[in-house]
Amino acid sequence: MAEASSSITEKFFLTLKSSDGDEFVLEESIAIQSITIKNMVEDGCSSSVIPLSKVDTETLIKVIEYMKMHSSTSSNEEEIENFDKKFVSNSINTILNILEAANFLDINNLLELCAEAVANRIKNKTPEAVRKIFNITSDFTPEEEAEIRNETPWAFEGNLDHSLD
Amino acid sequence: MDRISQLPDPILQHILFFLPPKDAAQTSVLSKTWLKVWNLLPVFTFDFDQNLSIRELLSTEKEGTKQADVRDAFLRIIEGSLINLRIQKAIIEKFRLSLKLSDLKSASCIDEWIGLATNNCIKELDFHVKYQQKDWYINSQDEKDLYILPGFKLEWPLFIDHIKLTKLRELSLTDVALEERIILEIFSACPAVEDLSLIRCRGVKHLLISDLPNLLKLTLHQANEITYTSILIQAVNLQSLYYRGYNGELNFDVAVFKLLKELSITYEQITDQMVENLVSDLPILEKLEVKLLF
Repeated sequence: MAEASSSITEKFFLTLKSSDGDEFVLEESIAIQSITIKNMVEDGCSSSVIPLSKVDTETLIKVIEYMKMHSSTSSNEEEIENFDKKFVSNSINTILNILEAANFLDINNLLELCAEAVANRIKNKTPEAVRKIFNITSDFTPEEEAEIRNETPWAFEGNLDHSLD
Repeated sequence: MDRISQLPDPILQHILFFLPPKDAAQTSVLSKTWLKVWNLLPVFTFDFDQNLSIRELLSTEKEGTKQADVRDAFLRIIEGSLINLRIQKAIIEKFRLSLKLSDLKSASCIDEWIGLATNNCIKELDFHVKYQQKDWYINSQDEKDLYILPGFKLEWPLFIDHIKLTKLRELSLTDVALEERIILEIFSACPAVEDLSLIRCRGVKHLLISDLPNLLKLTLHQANEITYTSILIQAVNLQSLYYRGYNGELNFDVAVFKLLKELSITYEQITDQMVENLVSDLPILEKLEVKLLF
């Protein structure tokens, strides 16, 4: 019991504030998976609220969920794996928001996870399908596009998946 | 603008790193943003010439360095560069290596380099390796996987010996001096070849194409002034045949290829009878192209 109580007394908490103004209290040991936050803590900037002006509330909730699951003390490998699988099945726009937040917060594992998830939705698809999936509008003329295709002809040969799954 | 294209360029590059080269290259046509990201990827051209590099190496090393040490240092530089590129997932515009080797031990590392090079997004691979005693060759003693991506061309400027490329799917020999014996050796060294091109190869009178059970596509272009006296193609699964020849008679029988879907013949003399024979003997032919050669 003595040991347990001493470890509780060592816990520090940080307050993270989203761009929407919502505040979240998080254990420091979990929050410093973000190198950006870790640097702020080490520089002594963490005594008050940490404003994250580039991360909205919805995204921050997801990022905190991820960091809690991945903090070394509370989860086993299988749980983490299942969590990650479910995590990347979020809508594509959510994943893109998390990806940008992970980049800003410098959480490498999360960045890799989301970048790979986005890549998996591009893989084996035609450019036309990728445009539809991500709602990308081409700003090329047909002539310009043909010219680019000619530059890397090996990329546009063979069979590709036209579906949007 | 759409959400994904608003992301900073380094993040978009990061996404490309998770894609196979082909898919990554395809993103270049999505929009101007994506073309920019694709063009920002690091591009390298490798042109290793042993003599040049040795000179450079010698200028930094002590005089009297033994030839073997210089060569080893050179080999390490190539390997180091390739591993770096692999980590960076860079595009290799061209990888050209000319090398003389005096022993088989250093030859085995070439396999590894080809593996490293083809793991990157590579457009052109060009190995000229000379075994000091006699032949040009590519050695693959430990039979590591080697495959050539579509669009790659492996050219041997002379002829080869001691090769074993068990995963090679596409083989193209252009302007290569060959002999009947060497052709058979190449085929037995590359049993998985699906796509074979022999363009203007000289030195062979009786061409025998056999021992390639997976052969699906065959391209044969005869050299201008030289013709094959006979051509025997044993490839029951052949689906596409492109032939360009000069002599008066078609000296092989296409009717044996019952699975042929695509046939293209460019020839000096084409008679109605020839065309009729071709069409009637090939039950599942989808595309027939007959061109007159002037």
